[in-house]
Amino acid sequence: MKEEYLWDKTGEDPEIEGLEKALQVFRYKETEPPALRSNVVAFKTKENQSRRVLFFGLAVAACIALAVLALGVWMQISNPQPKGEGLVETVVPKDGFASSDDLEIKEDETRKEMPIKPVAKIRRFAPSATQQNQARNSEIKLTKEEQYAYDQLMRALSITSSKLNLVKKKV
Amino acid sequence: MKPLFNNSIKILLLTLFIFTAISVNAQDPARLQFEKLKKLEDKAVDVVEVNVDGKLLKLAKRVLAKVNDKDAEKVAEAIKGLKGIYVRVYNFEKENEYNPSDVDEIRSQLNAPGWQKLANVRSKKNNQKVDVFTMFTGDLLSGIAVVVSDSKSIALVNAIGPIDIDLLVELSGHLNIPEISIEKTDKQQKKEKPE
Repeated sequence: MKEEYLWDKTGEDPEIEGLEKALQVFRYKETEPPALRSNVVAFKTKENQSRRVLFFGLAVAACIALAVLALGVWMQISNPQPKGEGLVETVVPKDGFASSDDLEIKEDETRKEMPIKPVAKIRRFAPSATQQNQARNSEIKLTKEEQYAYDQLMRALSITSSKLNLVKKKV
Repeated sequence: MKPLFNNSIKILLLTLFIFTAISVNAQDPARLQFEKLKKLEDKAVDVVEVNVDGKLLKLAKRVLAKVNDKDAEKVAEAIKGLKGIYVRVYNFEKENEYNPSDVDEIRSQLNAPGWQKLANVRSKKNNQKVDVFTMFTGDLLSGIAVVVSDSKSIALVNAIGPIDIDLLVELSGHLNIPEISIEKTDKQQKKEKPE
């Protein structure tokens, strides 16, 4: 076996030549690529688009859900409800002041019946206008909620006016 | 898939941004933040905390309208445009039991644009400090803040919306607005009520 023929086809090597002839049918022939079948569909574009729309819709829905959740959290934070640990603590019953029992009942009733906002927290020395208001408003029939709201407003205004009076006296 | 993820993130960020913007703007500029004073509740012997706004205020106004009394009518007129009123009073047993920086924090809120100083009193006696600030929107009063502090007490009032200050002062002690004196000491009360 001559090595040269195998590498650069110089000289003669009948054995290799015989093998070449036998395998000639399998030799590479440069021809055109086979034509695709006419009924082949390359991409299902509509399905992809609908899937994309579906995902987009889901993303938007998730965002809306998150937004609603954020809004709920924000509202909860901005309007904190009174804690259940008791709004009223020791109240000294003195002239013109409500007793602690009165106040506690009032606050508890309010908590049960009106799920309205902040309300009030009073600890000791709570000068309550409740009794006065109840006496003055005895002619008008008020609901507990109305009475409570009125008392809170009057309490706030009384403190405000007393402070403004103080300022007036000082200035 | 990647552009979809990017879009979702963008939408999420935009939503968060919008909600942040809403939450910031929703807060009335005349509303003071009293949250930092919560810690004083444990130290104080007397605490008064009153928040009247929203439904509660509407309800109270409705009651005021029902009361057949001239003073009630005046009060109703004085607070016609009121949107909310927030009051905090802390009384302490001993002097200097609270940190003055807690009140200064509230006063610093009144340095925000819009607030105008109406009155300012400083007294060495009891280290009393009195500040009254107002906020106007155009010609209309949109907020008032009163900060009174001395060595043994702190009182804060924050009213949102127009309120007739003069009328309120005039009505002090009338109707159902009892002339209480939380800020007064025992000595002061004895002086006013000689035995």
